[in-house]
Amino acid sequence: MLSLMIFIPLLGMLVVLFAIRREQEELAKRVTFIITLIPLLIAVFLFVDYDRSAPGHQYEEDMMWIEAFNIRYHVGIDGLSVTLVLLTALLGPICVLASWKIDKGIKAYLALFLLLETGMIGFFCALDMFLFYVFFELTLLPMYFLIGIWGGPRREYAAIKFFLYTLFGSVLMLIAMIAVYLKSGTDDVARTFDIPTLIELAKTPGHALADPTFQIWAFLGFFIGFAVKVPIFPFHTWLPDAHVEAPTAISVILAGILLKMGTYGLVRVNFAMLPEGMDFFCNGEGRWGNSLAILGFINIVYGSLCALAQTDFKKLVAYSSIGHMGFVLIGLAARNESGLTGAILQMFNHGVISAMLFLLVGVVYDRAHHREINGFGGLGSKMPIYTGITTLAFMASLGLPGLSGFVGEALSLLGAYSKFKVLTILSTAGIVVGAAYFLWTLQRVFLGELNPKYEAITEINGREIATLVPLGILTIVLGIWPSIAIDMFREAVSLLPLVQ
Amino acid sequence: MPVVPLISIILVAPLAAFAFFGLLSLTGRNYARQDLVSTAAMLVAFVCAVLLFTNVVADPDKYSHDGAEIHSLTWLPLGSVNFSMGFLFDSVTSVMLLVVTIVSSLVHIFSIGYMHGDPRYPRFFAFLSLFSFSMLFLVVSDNLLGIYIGWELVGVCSYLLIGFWFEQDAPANACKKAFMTTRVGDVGMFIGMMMLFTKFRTLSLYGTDGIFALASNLTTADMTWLSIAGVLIFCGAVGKSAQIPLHTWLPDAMEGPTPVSALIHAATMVAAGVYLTARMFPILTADSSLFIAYVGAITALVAATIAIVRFDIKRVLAYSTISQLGYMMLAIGAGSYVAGLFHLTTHAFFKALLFLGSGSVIHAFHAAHHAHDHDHEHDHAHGDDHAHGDNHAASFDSFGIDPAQDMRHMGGLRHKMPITFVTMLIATLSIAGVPYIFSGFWSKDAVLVEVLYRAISWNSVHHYILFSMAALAAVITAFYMFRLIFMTFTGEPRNQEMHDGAHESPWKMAIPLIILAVLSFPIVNKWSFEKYVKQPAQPHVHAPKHATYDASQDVLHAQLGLSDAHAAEDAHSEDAHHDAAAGHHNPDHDKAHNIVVPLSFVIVIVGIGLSALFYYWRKISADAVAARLRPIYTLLWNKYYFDELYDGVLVALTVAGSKVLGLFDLRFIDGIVNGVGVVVQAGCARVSGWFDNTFVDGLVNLVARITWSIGGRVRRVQTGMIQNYLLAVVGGVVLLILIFRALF
Amino acid sequence: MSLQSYLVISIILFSLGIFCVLTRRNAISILMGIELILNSCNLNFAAFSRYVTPPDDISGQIIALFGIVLAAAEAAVFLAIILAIYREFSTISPDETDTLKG
Repeated sequence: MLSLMIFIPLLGMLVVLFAIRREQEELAKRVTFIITLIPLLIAVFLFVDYDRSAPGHQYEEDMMWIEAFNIRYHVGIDGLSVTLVLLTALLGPICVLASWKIDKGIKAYLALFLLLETGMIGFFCALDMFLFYVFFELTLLPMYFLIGIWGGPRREYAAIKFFLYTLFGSVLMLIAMIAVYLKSGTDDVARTFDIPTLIELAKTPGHALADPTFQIWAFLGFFIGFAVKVPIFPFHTWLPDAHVEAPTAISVILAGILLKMGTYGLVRVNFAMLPEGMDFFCNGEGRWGNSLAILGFINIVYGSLCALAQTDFKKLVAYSSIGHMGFVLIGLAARNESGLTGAILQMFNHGVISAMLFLLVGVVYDRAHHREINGFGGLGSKMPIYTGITTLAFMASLGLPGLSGFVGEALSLLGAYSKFKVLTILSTAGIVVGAAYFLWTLQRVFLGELNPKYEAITEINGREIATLVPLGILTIVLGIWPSIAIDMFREAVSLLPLVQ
Repeated sequence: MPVVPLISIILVAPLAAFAFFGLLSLTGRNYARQDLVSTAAMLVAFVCAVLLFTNVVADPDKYSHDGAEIHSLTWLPLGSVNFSMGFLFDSVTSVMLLVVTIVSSLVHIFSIGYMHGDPRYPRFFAFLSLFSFSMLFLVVSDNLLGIYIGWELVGVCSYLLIGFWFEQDAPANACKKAFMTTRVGDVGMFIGMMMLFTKFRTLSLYGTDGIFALASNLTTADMTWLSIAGVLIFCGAVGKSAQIPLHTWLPDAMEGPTPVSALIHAATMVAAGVYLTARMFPILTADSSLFIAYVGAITALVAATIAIVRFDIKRVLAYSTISQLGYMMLAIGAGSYVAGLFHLTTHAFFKALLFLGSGSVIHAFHAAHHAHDHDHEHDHAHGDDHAHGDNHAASFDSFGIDPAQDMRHMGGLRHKMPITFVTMLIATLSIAGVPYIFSGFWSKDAVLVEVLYRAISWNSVHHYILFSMAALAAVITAFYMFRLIFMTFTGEPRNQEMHDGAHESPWKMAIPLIILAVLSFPIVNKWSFEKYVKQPAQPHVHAPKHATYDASQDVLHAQLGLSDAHAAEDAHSEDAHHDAAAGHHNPDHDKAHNIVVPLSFVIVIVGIGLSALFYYWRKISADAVAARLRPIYTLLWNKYYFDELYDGVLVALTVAGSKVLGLFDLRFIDGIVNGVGVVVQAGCARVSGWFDNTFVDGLVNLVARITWSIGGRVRRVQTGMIQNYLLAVVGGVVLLILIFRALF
Repeated sequence: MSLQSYLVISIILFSLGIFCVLTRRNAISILMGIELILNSCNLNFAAFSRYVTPPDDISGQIIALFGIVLAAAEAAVFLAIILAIYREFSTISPDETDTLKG
């Protein structure tokens, strides 16, 4: 089941590349759209079929891959990954729809996109550290080309920056991974890359993996690798550039999924596998005990304030992503039920909301061909539906209760407050600043007198509405009844090494 | 009457009206009669609220306690901690439901006339429905999280409705300001919620494991903590109810359509802050109560003083609202839940009436203004110019005031708009506190009595100060409210052209005015209110430490402070009315009452009399007084410079700071990254260049050199002499033959 | 007479021709050597045709005739080239006409 889901896009890539002629652009898009619907169907099936009361992984598939190093093809999903797999599968067709207007080398674009989807779904399903790494890197390559070829004017700079940054992180991650592998056994006891096994070993007292000093260093290696992806201050500067240059659909994937790969890695590896290392950075004591929470705080406040300063619509959304990832981080640092639930929920919700935001920016960019916030004005009277949906997305993003963004943020903060009082209180400043930049943007773009340049601007069309409506519905439904999502991963959270 | 289904209907009806609009607009269409859909939904909710109220009437003993009936279910089960959502039904909820549904229904009806012809007419009603839903949700929530959700939702509706005419800059700015300012308060409230949650592991208020039950067990060691939590929760109310220092958004919010001002910014949403504070009553401590009381009293006084010098009719009412909300806060802070909520209820009606009345005037003037524009296009500037007959100080220009809202253009409207005049006069008499006849007197009187009662019984200097501030504010209130009436409805018309165009509003607008005017009489009276609403106990409130009282009195006052609660507990055996009376029959309370009632007469006479001297009989020139007291006048005209402080300092600093940070990010952090990139690139280039030259290129060169030298040698074979080649060929053949011979 | 005796004569002629080509320093002499080699070949063709192939198959003799004609043509061209070389270099020794040497 999972393998099918992972490799169907890959198969689809071959179909698009070899079975469709260059000039059949329309056909290529349709075929890709249908291909991306298959993982979505499987994901919906998983969502329905998933046994919410059972802890641990489900739908596991396990077979030997590279015998010499005991590398296995081991995939499976637990509550943590199933939500993100669903998100990935959902954004797939939406992004294909959002890419409908791309006219340069559409075949190659779609093929790369499908490859990217394989990488992302595989990453969230992988239970073998090596496989995990392979999929992690697999997303990098298509992303590089998607930004570097189909991006804006500074696309090459942005693509290289993104590539090098991530590569830098993943090298450290690779080192940490190999270290963990080497420590997992001896010449007599088989070493392993298997994540569930490693998690068990790291908990076993006296095992080499359970050594706190080792865990701290391994933690750092993994952490930097994931921090680049999240991104966590000060590794965040690739994000605004990449977002600004990337085409709309790729921004959506970047914000919706790729950032989540970082936080997912933090939960899956740093938190679950290296509890001692986590403890060192989150226990609130000693020189380093607040560091994760401090980083979360910096992300929230710094990201929000930077967003306030932006005049490029897309850059503003990009910085707001940095701010929102801070809530994930601070919830994670709390290591308690509400903090972690909030963090995971925030991952999912941010995926949905930021996807909406980037799609919305794309809509206005397609019409006005620029993204300068101060260059708009009064669009509200010309594009009422667009304005309405944007308001919904902005409100969700600034954490309006009743919409999904609030629940994740509130739970993260509630959880974090019991551990890091001062930092959490300071972080709430991010809520105010978040409201400030979104409202200010709303005012500059939509309110006020209509800028005469846009007298003839057209209302959002049906295809664009179709990309936004599923996300909008999710935002509202999860805001009203977040248990739908939380039920999925409650058991998974309870398995994590929580500290009350 | 079953509670849950009725509350569900109350919530679902307006929400459905909004959803109808929202789904339809995704297809790019609007239903032109959204007004009927929304109004019908609101009337359904009103009927349900009335039905629910019959529960309270039938069983006052049960429902008069706060948190009487709760139906909740788990909303967010996290494992060890759960968040629940649910309905709370008690007399306070019931009263709030009635207030909200009545005012909302009337405002809906009023708006059908007022908003007629607006290009976004259906949207307006959809937003009103969404607001009504949010407000009702807030009121029926049984836990802090639910209240917070409703709280923020009403904030957004307020944002959407203030910015309804977003094409103009003023509403666009005002709606942003309103949202931001209240959000600052909300963050405080959220921090308070975090504190309570961390301590009690729940956000439910009632029940054995609710916050109130758990908080009542706290000891004196936790009092500082609890006080801080209480003040932080109160921060939310400060923002929403526009208390000082977060009051500045409310006057600006008057940029929204007037029915919105009546519903949201006078009767319901801004009162939600008072409602929240009242709900939090049991966890208030002596210190947080005093804090709340001071904020309320200062707000009441300061806002009243600002109202004196405003010319925009809606701005006057806005400051009046702020001031009255201050009263309610003062009452709750002074330990009287009942008086606070009572004033909330009466105020909702007469203030909604005042706003709708002003809306009626504005509507008339707008119509006149438009007609005037059509007739005399050239005359526009002139029309604005000659209207300054009553300009107090020429230097304070009327910039930014809509001519249709400027009281300096009005005057003498009582003949033109008799219904509006009479109803507004009733409301004004009510808010000014004219004794006995009007509801405003009873509620304001209750507030003053309660404050003075605390002052006397605790012999507390603080409460004496609070009382005098409240009394002074009452005088000012009477003064500026009658200034409004005199300037608008009496005297000679100051802008003849606009005056000529003005006319009485259509019946759709007049009927709500009349109904509200009826409600401004003591239909909602003190006795019935006290019968249905019982004050919950405040386990942590005691006389302030500094108060000079003796120990024997302390015991007495401790009992008195809880008298209502005791009364509530004994309510099974005795008639509730008698309990309330028993609570009031203690000597200090009687003493307070005996002082306040005559004082009320004085207040009203002084306030109205002064106002009449200035604006009716014109015995004293307001301009002259203003000129004499120029520094004070300037201060008041500039609203104590709060806006300047916020815009010029806080907002400017934040924005500037963010710009600096943005540059810091772009130049410094990204600079470092790019710098590293450049350094690495350059360094790598050098290293790899050397490597390339030495090894890679060396290897290539080596191959080339070897080839060269071999070629150099082998070349000699190529003599160019055919005979040599031929010799080689022959030699080769011979060799081959020999080899073959040898092999085969 | 048997085939063998023809072949012996042919081999002698061929060897003499080779020797001549390899040793002479005069282009004309070399040409004469080549003619010897060619004629040894012609002899071989005729002999094989007479003794080995069926009697009515005379293709070997015909090839020999062609070879003779060819040799005549070759000699004509060769001599013309030699004349040209002589005019250019004033010698007909192949060792001295080495301007194409690498």
